[in-house]
Amino acid sequence: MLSRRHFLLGALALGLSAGCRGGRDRILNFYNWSNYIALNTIGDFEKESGIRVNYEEFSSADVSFAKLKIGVTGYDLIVAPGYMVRRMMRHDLLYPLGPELSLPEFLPHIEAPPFDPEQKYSAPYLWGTTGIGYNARKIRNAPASWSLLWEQSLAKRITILDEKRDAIGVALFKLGLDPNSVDPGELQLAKKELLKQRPLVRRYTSDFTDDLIRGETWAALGWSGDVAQAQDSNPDIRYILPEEGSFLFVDSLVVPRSAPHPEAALEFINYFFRPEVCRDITNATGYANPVAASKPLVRPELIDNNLGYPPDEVLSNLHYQEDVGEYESVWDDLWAEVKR
Amino acid sequence: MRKTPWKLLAPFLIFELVFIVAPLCSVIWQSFHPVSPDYEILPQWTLDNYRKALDSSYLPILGRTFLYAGCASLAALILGYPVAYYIALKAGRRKNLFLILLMLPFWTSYLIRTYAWMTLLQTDGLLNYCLLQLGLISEPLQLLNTPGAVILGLTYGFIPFATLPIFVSLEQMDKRLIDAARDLGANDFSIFKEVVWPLSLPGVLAGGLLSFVPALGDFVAAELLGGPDDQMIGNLIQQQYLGSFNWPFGSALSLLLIVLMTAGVIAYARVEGDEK
Amino acid sequence: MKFLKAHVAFVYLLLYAPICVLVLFSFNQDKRNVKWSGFTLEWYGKILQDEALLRALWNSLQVGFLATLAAGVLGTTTALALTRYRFRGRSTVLSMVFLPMAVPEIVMGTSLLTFFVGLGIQLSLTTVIISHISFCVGYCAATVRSRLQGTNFDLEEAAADLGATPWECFRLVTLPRIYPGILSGCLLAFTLSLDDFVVTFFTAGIGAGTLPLKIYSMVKFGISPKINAISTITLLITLSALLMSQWKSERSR
Repeated sequence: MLSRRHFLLGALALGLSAGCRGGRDRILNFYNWSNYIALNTIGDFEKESGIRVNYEEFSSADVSFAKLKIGVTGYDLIVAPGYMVRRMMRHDLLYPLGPELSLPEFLPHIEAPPFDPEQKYSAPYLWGTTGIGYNARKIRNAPASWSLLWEQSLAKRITILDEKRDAIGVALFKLGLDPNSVDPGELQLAKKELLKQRPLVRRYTSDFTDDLIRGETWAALGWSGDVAQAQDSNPDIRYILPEEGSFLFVDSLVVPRSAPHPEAALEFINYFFRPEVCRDITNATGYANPVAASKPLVRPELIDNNLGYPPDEVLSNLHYQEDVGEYESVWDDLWAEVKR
Repeated sequence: MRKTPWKLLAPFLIFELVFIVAPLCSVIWQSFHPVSPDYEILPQWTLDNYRKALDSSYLPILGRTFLYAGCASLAALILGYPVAYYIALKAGRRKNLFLILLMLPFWTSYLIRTYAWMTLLQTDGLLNYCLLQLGLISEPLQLLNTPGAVILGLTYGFIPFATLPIFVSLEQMDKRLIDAARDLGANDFSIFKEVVWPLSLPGVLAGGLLSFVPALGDFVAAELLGGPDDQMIGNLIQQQYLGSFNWPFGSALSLLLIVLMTAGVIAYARVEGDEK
Repeated sequence: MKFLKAHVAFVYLLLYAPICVLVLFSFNQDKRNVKWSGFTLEWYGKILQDEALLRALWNSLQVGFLATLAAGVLGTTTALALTRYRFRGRSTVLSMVFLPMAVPEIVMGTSLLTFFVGLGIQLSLTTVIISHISFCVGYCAATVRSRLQGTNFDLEEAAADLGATPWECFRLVTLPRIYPGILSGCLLAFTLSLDDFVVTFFTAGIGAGTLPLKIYSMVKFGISPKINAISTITLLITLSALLMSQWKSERSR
């Protein structure tokens, strides 16, 4: 029983949101992870370009992908992890980034990410590694190995990421196998390892930082930038990139095909590639940026440090998460069974 | 009167049919189709999703969900009934004050409240500190990521939903009945047993349902306060929708849950109807 | 009686324990807000500068108010229909009342989004309001219903016999009687709406974000004490308004 008042208010809301799009103002609808940008970036960009930015944040890539898959439109620029870029490319949801983009020189290991080797649909934003964040006060002499996450004495003090590619991949690394394996025998071995690990796990979560800071978790499978942030709050936290090998990931800027203002999106991407701009973002978030010219400008604690820009010999031991094609559901089922 | 009050029911029915039943039809449709590795829903019809959902390996999680939700709902009722009684019968002019004070904590974010519980329950948190100081324990207890923490989180979240309906039905009770009973020589206990409790029963049942039904679908408490062995069916459905993107299977699971709960509600309606 | 008072005190203590932590941590120096690292008032000042946060709060209040209003009306009419009349299909209507409560939020959210997108309806604050009404209406109906159960409608019939129109019967006879029930139902609905995340996430348009959306988006990198501060302020305002109206009503004895 919507009264006339409701209709008027509703029309007002719709009118406002319609007026926000098009019109004389240039607009950019930017959808990014929370705290994944520096405080001044958007403001500075708005001042220089005259484009008004509607900046929205999300906490989980999967949830925003669900929204986009159902068909929500209106976003011009999105920051997406590699597997999401791959999915969106496969569903033809992305706008090809054309020659208007002035690509800078990238760090060599970022240049051709497996999900978009020609960088036709994505531009690299920030990158990081997957490793172990641990509390050095509770764990002395931590080994540089994934076996730390299987350590019996750490029962119920271990947190594992609720991400199947990371968790299963780590088990495969530990066994000395290919972390992107689709071989059923190898996957079964990985599953056995994970089931062995399960009684030691306090939580399966991607929000491990608070528990680390709190001291409830002593060792967590986690991402470099998050661990760097945890370190800011609790100086006992350290980071390990195990010898058996680990993952490298790149989050990318993409423009959906349905974007109402693709030119504004491209303008921002070009702005982002300026060495000082991405330096600010790296300094604020703790995640490294892909622009080669920016590396020397970044705060010194992050250089040649596993938490920021790992040295070259460590980099060579890092792998991307590759597409597993139709085996995706095999990995899904495996993970669901481990978690049950 | 046997005539159907269409004018009263129409607004609600129209709204419900358009904005709840219609969207749910897509969910029902989905549950009968398989999904491709590409997360596309395929055109052929199948019962596989339901076969998988009814698979016995999911029974423990369903049982656990009913157990946790049931305990939480019961605890909320036990905690809430005396509060409802007090506000309805003893608070006098302060009634509204107490009511709103009851609801006020829940106008803050569920997430922050749960985080606050984590701070209170953590190994070096306030609760452990008090217990240690009182000499009741010698080592701090591991309170987080346990079934107890999950049930506590659920109970806490649903106290107002259990309490308010009880208050409402106690409030409309004719107080003179109590006076009359007292005049006839009954003591407090029999007054409660014979007069107050039966009249508050509709409120208790409503409060139970209003806390039990949503608790069954909850996923936040188990995710933040529970361990890997405390997952509820809400977490499983969440994972199917947002992790595996297997929406058909997630839909099948949800529909089973909905059907179970609706059957329960219909049973409750029949029981009520009989009582009249 | 003493036992009763002690129990009530215990329950309220339990209810406010996390709130005390929340208020305390609004003064925390650490922006990550997990461990206490010192006292500061800076977050209260920062709220005024955070335009997005204030807009989210305003959106939440608008949605809460409008959705509660609609849910209250729909819930009351349904409760009246269910309790005053005996008709075939009563159980069906009752199940429809409880149906939205039984649907998991993620299912409700994604199916509503699919529905809106399928019909070409643009997401906005209105779609959020609609989705909130859908899960609030059941709570209102159930609460008002428990108020009406066990009462008889003789007074209404008497009024009708005396010539009152159905609307007058409702306004002058029924409404004053069930007013506490409607208030309680609306209180519940408002509470639900204010804190909803999942359904709102899927039905909010750009710029139509509510406070929970903002809060949940911060989870990954820590919920800033700013949120604690804004919650504390909201609590303080409501509490003072409440105490003031209580004091006024006690004075006018």
